[in-house]
Amino acid sequence: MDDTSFTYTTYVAAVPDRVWQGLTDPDLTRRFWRHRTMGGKSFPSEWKKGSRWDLVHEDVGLVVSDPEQVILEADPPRRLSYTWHTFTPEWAALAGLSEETAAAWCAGPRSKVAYELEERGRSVTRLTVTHDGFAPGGPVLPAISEGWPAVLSGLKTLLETGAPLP
Amino acid sequence: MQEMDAVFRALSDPARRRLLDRLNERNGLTLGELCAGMGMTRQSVSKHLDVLEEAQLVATSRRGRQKLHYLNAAPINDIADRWIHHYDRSRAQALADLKTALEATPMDHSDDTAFVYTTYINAAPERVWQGLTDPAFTERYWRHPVSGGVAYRTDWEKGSTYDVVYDQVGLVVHDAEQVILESDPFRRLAYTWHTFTPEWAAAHGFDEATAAAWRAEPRSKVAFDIEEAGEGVVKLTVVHDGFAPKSAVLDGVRGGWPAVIASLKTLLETGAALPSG
Repeated sequence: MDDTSFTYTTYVAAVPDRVWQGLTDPDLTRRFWRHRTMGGKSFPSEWKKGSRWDLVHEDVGLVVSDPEQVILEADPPRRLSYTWHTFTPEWAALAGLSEETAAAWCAGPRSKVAYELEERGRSVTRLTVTHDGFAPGGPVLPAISEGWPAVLSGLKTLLETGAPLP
Repeated sequence: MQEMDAVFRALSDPARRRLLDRLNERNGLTLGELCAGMGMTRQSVSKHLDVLEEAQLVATSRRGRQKLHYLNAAPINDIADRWIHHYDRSRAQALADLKTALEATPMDHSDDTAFVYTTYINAAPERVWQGLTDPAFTERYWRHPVSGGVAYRTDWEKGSTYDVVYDQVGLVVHDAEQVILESDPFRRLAYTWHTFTPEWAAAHGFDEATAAAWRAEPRSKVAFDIEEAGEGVVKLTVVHDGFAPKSAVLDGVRGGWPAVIASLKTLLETGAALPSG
C-alpha cells in the first residue's frame, strides 16, 4: 500500500449512470453516506469541471464551503474527480476531533479523490476509488482508509437492495 | 498492436463472428456442438476456431477426452474501449484524458507483500462463514469465466487439508500443503493458498512457464476476519499475505479479490450473485 494514497475497487449490480447518481445525488448520498455523529451528507454542486462543491450535513446544520473545493474532472458516467473538503473548525468540532487532532489534519496538503466507473458485462459497474495527495505519515489517510470501505459498501447495498445498510 | 491486429482479422470473418455469438449464448461447447447448424465442414470450423484461439478470443479446456471451447470477451471489450468509446468523446477531451493518464503517478505496488480488503455485509456471521466455505454458495459467486464455480472440499478443521474442485471442467487441485491454518467459526478462517498445478494453469488459460514461476514463489496464505459491526452488519476483512516483494502471484490475486468479495456480498444481500462479467 502506497503511503500517500488509498485505492478501493468494488463491483456494483447497477449501470454506471446509476452508480454516478449514487455518488452525486443528494437524495441518495444522504441515505448511505453517513457520519457517526453528523448524519447523512450531500454535496451540492453543478458537477462540471471547475465547479465548486459544498459539503452539507443537514442533520446538524453544517455547511463546509470553500473555493478550493472544486471538481477537477467530470465525465459522466465514467470519471469524476474533486479536491477534498476543508477541515473547518465547525466541521472538526461536530466530527468530534480534538483541537490538536484538527490542527494536524489541517496541516497537510489538500487531498483529492477520483472515481472510475467501468461497465462490466450486463448492468455491473466496476467502481474504483483513488483518494490521494496525502502527506506520508499524516493522520488523514488512516482515517479515510477506514471510512471508504464502509461508505462504498453502503452505496452498493443501497443500489442493489433499495435500502441502506442498517 | 499485433494482438489487436489478430483480433480484428479474426472478427473480419462472418463465420467466426457467428461462432463467437454461439459461445456467447452458451459457453463451453465441443467442436461437434459448434459444427451443428453452421453449414460447414468440421475441418472449416476447426480452422476458424484456430484463428479465434490465436487471437485469444477463444480459450479451450479439456474435460476428459473432450475439448471444450470458451469465449474470452476481453479482447472485444478492449477494442470497444480503444476504438469506439474513445471516438465518442470530443478530440480535445480525448487529448486531455491522454495528458491526465500520462501525468498520473502510477501507484507503486512493487514492495507490497499483502493484499487487504474490507467490506461490510448485511448478513449474520454464520451466513458469511457459510458463504466462504459451503460449496452451494462458493460455486455461485466464486467463479472464473473458463473454469466456472469453485468448491473447497474439506472439513474446515484446523490442520486438515483441502482440495479445490472445479466441477465445470472436471479439475481437482490436491496438495498436502493446502492446509487449514485457523478455523474459529464464525469469526476467523485462514488457510494456505492452493498450488498452481499444471492442470490448474491449463484450465485457467495460463501457460506452463507462468505457472512454474508462480509455483517457485513462497506459498501465500489468506485469512478472513468476520466481525459484528452492529445492527446485523458484518465487517469482513480479507488479508492475503505471505508474498515476497514483487510477487507475480500477488499482482494476479489483487485483481481477483474485489470481484469475488463483491459477488459474495451481492449473493448474501440479494439472493443472487453478480452476473459474471
